[in-house]
Amino acid sequence: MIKVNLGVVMEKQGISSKELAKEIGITPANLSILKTGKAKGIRFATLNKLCNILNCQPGDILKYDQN
Amino acid sequence: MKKINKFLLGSIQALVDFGIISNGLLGIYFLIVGPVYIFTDPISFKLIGSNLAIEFLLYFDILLFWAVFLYGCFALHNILDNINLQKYFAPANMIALRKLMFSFLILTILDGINTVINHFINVTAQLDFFPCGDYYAYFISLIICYLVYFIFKRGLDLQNENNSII
Repeated sequence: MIKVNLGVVMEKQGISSKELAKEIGITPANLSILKTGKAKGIRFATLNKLCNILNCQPGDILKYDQN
Repeated sequence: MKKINKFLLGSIQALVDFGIISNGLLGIYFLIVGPVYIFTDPISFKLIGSNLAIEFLLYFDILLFWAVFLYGCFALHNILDNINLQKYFAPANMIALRKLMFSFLILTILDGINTVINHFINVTAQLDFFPCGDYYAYFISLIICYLVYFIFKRGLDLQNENNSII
């Protein structure tokens, strides 16, 4: 399954959920859904903004876990 | 094309609103004048005779017909309102479509009963233009609404799925 490591990356960069949501242009509620891995999918546009703001690669945010 | 669609939707909305107002007034008028007309009109008296049961049945049948037609018009008004606000796959549209289906179902049944009564009192040729009766048109409308309902249902599912992609 695909695991979302957004929380870890955010912690590393020292950015709060509210701040990141505002920067990406999504609601804090939607960011929370994304962070907890409850979202059904992620748009390339959102991923692009996340990588840009958090200065990371998509692979840092999304990880494949065989278990 | 966008302008034409907007104009058409606006025109249809105006037509439906006019239908609601005119049918509402007609219904209130018939509610008051109907019994007098049915029981005193020489033509209906000649066709039906002095059969009070059939006269009452026809009166309530027409009233129910009017009420259900108005109910369907209101549902159509709600759908058009939502579409004009660009809310295509909204749960409110599903409810309105269900109301519209219900009204077409009742209209089919009522017109079927009317056709039977008309045959019974031998006025079929004078009241029906189509030999199969209007109930067939209502039935086809019911089927179309049923199919549109399924399309809307699938659209609503897709919309929800799209909303859960962030």
